[in-house]
Amino acid sequence: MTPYDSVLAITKTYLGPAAESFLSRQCQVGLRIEASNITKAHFKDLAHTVEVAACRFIDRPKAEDMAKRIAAL
Amino acid sequence: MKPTIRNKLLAGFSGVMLLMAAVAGIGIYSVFSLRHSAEDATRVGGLLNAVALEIQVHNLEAQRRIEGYLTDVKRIGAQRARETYLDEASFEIHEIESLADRAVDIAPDAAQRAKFQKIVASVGVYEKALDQAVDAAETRKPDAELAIANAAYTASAEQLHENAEDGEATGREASQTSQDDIALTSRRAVWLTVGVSLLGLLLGISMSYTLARAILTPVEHLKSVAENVSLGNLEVSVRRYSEDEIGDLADSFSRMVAAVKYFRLEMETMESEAPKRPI
Repeated sequence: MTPYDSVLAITKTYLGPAAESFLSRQCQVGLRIEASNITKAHFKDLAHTVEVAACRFIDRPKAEDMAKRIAAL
Repeated sequence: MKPTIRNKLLAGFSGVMLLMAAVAGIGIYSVFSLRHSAEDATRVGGLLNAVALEIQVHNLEAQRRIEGYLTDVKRIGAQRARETYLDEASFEIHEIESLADRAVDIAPDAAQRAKFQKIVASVGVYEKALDQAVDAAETRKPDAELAIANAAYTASAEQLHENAEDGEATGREASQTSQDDIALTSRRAVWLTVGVSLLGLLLGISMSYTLARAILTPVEHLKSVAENVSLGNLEVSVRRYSEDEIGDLADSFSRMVAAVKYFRLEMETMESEAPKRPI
């Protein structure tokens, strides 16, 4: 399982079918990389970006939870 | 065990079934206890009453025969008088004694036993007085001695009669007491059964209410969320009430709402970024 797959699996539990698009956009906008190129080194920054962005679609506690899980990968 | 709806329903129904079984068990126990108590009380009370009555019957018969003996002994002779009256009277006296002994054995309390012990004692006195009276009558003793012996016999007969009457009253009381005991046990059994049934009913109602709430509250919340989303309001919070199938459903619904929100925002962004085309 690639780092991207791991992050996508977590994101899917919160955003469902929007997870792939959401993750792709966060990687491009927040980390300036393609989603498929993320590595473990990006997880912390990605977690922060995801938490801020996800708050627009899901509850804050859920967004924080998702970020924690990504950071803990 | 995971708190799924299936497990909750199983636990709820098992609880209700156990409750019903407990109520039925206590009801059956009450009925059997009442029956046992009634049989016991009826047996003792009724038996004592019957024995006491029988003692009195034998006593009256014995005294009737002995009076006949004392009246006719001079006229028909000792031998014939004995055969006609005394043998039968002896049998009656023996019966009184054995019945009184039996009553002492079965009497349920000390006061009742004492009454029948008095009969046993007075039978002994009565037999002695009778022997003396018979002896005086058959050996043709002087009138004074005969009168004394007859007076002693009469006194002992009166005492025996009195004690037999006391025994009869005791038998009646025992019978009445047994009926009172049955009534008391019956009332107790009724209250016990009613109380346990009411308790079971209350527990059953509270268990059903709790179970219904545990299932209906999250379902009603999901229904409200679904209505809001279907009317275009995506700013709803989907709450996970329980760790069961409805909780999983709430999570799925939450994901779906988040996705719809995301795609709508994405579409709006794309529309705003796209160059306006003339119609």
